Amino acid sequence: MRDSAIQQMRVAAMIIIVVYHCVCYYGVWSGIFLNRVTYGGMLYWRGLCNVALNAFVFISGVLYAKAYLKGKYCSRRKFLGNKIQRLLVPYALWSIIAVSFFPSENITMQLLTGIQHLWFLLMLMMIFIIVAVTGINALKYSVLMGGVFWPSMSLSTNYAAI
Amino acid sequence: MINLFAWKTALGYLPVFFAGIITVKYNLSDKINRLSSFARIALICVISMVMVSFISLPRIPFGVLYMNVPTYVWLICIYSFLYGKTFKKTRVFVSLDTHSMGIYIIHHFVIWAILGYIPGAMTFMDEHYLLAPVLLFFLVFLFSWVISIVFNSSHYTSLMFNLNHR
Repeated sequence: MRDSAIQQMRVAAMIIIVVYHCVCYYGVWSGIFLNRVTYGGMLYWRGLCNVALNAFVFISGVLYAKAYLKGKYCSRRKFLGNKIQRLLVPYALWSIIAVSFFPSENITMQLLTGIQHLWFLLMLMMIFIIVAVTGINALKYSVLMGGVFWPSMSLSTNYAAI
Repeated sequence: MINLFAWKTALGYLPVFFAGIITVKYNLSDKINRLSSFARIALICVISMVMVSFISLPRIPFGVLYMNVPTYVWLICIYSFLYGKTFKKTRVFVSLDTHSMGIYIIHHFVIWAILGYIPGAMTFMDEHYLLAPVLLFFLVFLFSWVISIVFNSSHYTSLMFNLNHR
């Protein structure tokens, strides 16, 4: 049976992100409506969207821990294979569509760093790779590892990437 | 340094991933739910106020650093409050949950398509900057949802979201 708390959080986060992207034209996505750069409340939307993205990653952490404790991720190879199928395959397919229908400059670099909103799939894949490499320690020393990576948040590009 | 395969962004989001792990590992949901209703409401109010103040003041030094800790605590609290509560799952809700990844992936393309290919859409967006995002949201949301359902109905197209592997 699915955890309804996770389901509720996931639906709410997804709606917030869609709403945010619908107002992005007025300031976040560069220079489309120059007169609306100071669109009221954009800052709040941006903060709220950041919370929603964090919620998605938080949910992934919860689901990973639950599956791990149930013994689902005994094999690293199987785990990574599953994640590649779930994240990298959709990333590759949708990137091709994005590049074909909405061409932009420096496509190769965009594909390697995460094209448009699809960066999220690539980022999540990278998190799973880090967790797979650290293995059991990810769960054993989760508090310590969370603390080690906490300062990196300030250096990361997540605000720019939304 | 190049953010190759989003490694820098992944490092940034790693603490919140571990926050999720910690929540399950230490059974934080049960511990938080043992608090009295007043304590729980007070906790969420204080954290929300801290978050709003950091969202409002992004220019303070290392604001992002402070902003994210209350976010992690807030997410743990929200998850704990919702955890174990009886919730009536309607068909619409279950469908939205199932297709959340599909909607996330498609909505951007729908926004581009509407604004890039429908004549006059950009002018409308520029002139009606309060009404237009609302209309755009409903259009984008519904289209993305329907497209996700349609794609998921076939085995081969469902690979694009991998929903059948859930």
